[in-house]
Amino acid sequence: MSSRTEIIEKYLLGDLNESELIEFEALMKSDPELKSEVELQREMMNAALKLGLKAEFGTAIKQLKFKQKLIKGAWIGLALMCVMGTGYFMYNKFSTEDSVKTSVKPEALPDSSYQTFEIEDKDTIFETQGGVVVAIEAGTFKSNKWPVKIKYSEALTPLEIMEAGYSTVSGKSLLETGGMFSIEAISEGKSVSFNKPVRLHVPTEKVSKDMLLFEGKMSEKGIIDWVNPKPLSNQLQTVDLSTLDFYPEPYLPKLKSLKIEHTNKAFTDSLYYTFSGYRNYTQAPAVETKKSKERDILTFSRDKNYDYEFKNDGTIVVYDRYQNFTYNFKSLDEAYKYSLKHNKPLMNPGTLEMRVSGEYDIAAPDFPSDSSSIEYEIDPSRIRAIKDKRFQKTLIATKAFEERIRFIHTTCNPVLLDAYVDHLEWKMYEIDSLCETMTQGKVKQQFRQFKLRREGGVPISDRLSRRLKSYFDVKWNAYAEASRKVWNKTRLELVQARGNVNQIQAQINQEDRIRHNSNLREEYCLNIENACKQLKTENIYCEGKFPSMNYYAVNVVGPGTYNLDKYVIDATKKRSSLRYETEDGRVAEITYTGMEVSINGCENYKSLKVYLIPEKLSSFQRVLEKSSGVYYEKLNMAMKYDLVVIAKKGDQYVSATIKSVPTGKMSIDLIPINREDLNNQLNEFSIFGKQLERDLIQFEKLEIAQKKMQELEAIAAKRKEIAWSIFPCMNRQEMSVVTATDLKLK
Amino acid sequence: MKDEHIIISLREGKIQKAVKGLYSAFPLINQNVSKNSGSKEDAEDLFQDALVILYKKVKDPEFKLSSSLSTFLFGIAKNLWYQELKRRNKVLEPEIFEEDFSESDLYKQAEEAFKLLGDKCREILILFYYAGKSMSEIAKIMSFSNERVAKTQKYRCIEKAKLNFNQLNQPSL
Repeated sequence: MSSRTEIIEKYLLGDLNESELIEFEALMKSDPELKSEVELQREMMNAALKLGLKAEFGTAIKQLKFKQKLIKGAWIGLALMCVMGTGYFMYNKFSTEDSVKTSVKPEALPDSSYQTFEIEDKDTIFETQGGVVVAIEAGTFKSNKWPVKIKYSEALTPLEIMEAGYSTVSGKSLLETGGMFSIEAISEGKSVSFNKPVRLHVPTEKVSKDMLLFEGKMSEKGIIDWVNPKPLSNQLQTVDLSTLDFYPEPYLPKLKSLKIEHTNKAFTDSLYYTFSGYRNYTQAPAVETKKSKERDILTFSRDKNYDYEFKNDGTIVVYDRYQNFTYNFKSLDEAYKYSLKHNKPLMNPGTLEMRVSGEYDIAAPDFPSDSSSIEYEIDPSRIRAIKDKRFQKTLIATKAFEERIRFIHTTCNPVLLDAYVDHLEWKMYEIDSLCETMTQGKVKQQFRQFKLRREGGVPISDRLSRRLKSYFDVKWNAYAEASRKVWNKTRLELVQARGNVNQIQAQINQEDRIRHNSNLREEYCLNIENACKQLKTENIYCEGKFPSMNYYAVNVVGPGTYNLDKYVIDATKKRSSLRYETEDGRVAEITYTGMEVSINGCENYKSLKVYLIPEKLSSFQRVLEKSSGVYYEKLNMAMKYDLVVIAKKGDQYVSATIKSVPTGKMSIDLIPINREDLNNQLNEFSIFGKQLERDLIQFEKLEIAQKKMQELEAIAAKRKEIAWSIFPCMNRQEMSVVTATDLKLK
Repeated sequence: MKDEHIIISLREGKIQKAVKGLYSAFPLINQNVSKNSGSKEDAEDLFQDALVILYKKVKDPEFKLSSSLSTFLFGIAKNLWYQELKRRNKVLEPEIFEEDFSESDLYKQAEEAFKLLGDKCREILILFYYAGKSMSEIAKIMSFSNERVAKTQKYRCIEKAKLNFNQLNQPSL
């Protein structure tokens, strides 16, 4: 039997081969019963065809009718802004010419057709008779007298609309209605304007994407024309990604305050992206601790993985931000035991102990190194990855997401950003809800607020969503890696610049020390020779080797003189005058007299250097600044000194030389001189010339190195300033050692 | 929507779009049916039947519209409703139609027999003959364990329909 039906079907569908067909047709001729069965089966096929088609028409009609009805279930949000006493329509454009227009003045409606609600100035939600939920935020209406009366009327079904006598015309076209309503706020008998949107949730069985919100305009003839249609789909509207601002909120204001170009988006973007990895090169955030305002919580603190609440009753709540898991402990003891038993870093006894003992400002606890996989804050590379044009037309490219990302920045938790990128195919409020479950406290509340807006998504296939997700992971890691390299390079640069400065400075100091020591020895010899001459005694102190300056090499040679060298050493070191009298009345005097030189207009000069060139010694002597522009030194009266002053005014050298400098006060002017003439001038001082020139060159080198270092440091400091605006959880005390040369700061 | 557009939509199989344009003819058909002792359900069923006939007509490349589409559709509906009333033995003044849209008796009975099938059977057969789905697709849609089961089920359904037909045509005892 089965094969018979099968063969007939094959015959009817033309699936028999040639020989089978011949055989079958022969069989039909001889068997009238088979023939009629074939006919019947053919008609069955036709019936299937017809009924299938009919069913399709039926479905299409049903769908069309659905659109014209208001049905219960899904939510549509409408925003009415600053319009008073105006009716609103939700309509589909339906058909034109051949439709009948109806219109009646809505004014003619008796007051009884209005529903009235009284509201206070606080968040209010009420439901109308027709099941429309009206949400009015506090501050929507300005009024001196509360409650404010809300006058509301609605026509949600075609019957109601006809009874209310509203027209369903927009220009010349007839509209398909999703319901109409009029809302007006009345205070002290007057209409009040709307300061904030009022949300209406209109029940419907099926959300039509084509629904628009029309505004009612009364024509002179008293006919309402519905104008100014706006889409109301709870699907999110995507906008051009490049117009969205995904920066942390304080970023642009910070640039503005630092007088950095903040309006050039290409620049601010690239500047922002250079901060990728910044947090990895600074220390892990130190534990932030603050006294909780809540009474039952003694202290609240957080470190890189966990939030701790130490309550007054001795219990401890540890919340793992990344695993979204909360541990409750009855006591510190219990926490310790758990920590030891499970080897959980969160239970680091040190961490807990310090919290409890009241030392709140401690460094980050010693966590295992594998915590490096956890990031803090929203790395700019992540933002860069989602700013890619591939994310156009996804829920990333929406104003709603902009709002969320700006909030996520303040949480410092990249997991929340990932939640959105990982679920592009979801509705916005579903992801909000996910984030709500992952967070705590104020953050949780904010995500709850987001969720309650019930914002929809942007349609996207699962496949595309998955592709974008993996694109995001690959891309932001690549950006971060590239940025890491730049960081390494720039960090090295600053370290090198600092090293250079230190090295040159050290060399200068070293040479100064050598000069100072050799001068001291020479001057000691000079002084002791002088003293011996005055005492008419043999100089036995300064032959061949000079005595060390660090200890007293005293040779006792005769009565009355054996302390001489000590006194002379002291006098020489202190550059103070000495009068030495022996028991037999001989006197030796060594005299130091002050010389003070003030440089006129010293504030105009930089790298001011004052040298004394002692006639009888082999190295110059550096004169130190006593006060601004005033240089003071005591001169040994046993010899003459020349004075050389060199400084720079901008890039111009200025100098002055005084031969046989007098003691006492004097002031001098510096005269501009070019580098070559300066060299010639210095060469006049024979061996000292070379020394002075070398000193000059050393300082020139130092100046260049310092300039470079200062530049880099200035950039680093500025970047640190900016970084604080980018990474809200970054500790203010944190040292940042990095900089970037690609940043052109003015 | 203009008639030409509706015809194009129908030829391209864009049923929903076409229905959107044609639905404006329904109120008149509904009125006619209710005037002639029919219910709203009758009118809806009739409207769908009329749409099927219009669809088949329009599919013919030779088809030329002599009046507006809605008038034409109304004409078909009126014609069909006349036959239906005749079938229901309601007394009617004879009416002459240019074209007879009635189907063969064999087809009418076959359709009756088909309608008596269970939902599942009707669905399989419509999916196969009307929607042109393959047996493996049907197996998936209707959650049969495999193609083979779906195929066997389909033949059983045809046989059941034939059985229904035979029962309908047996002289009542």
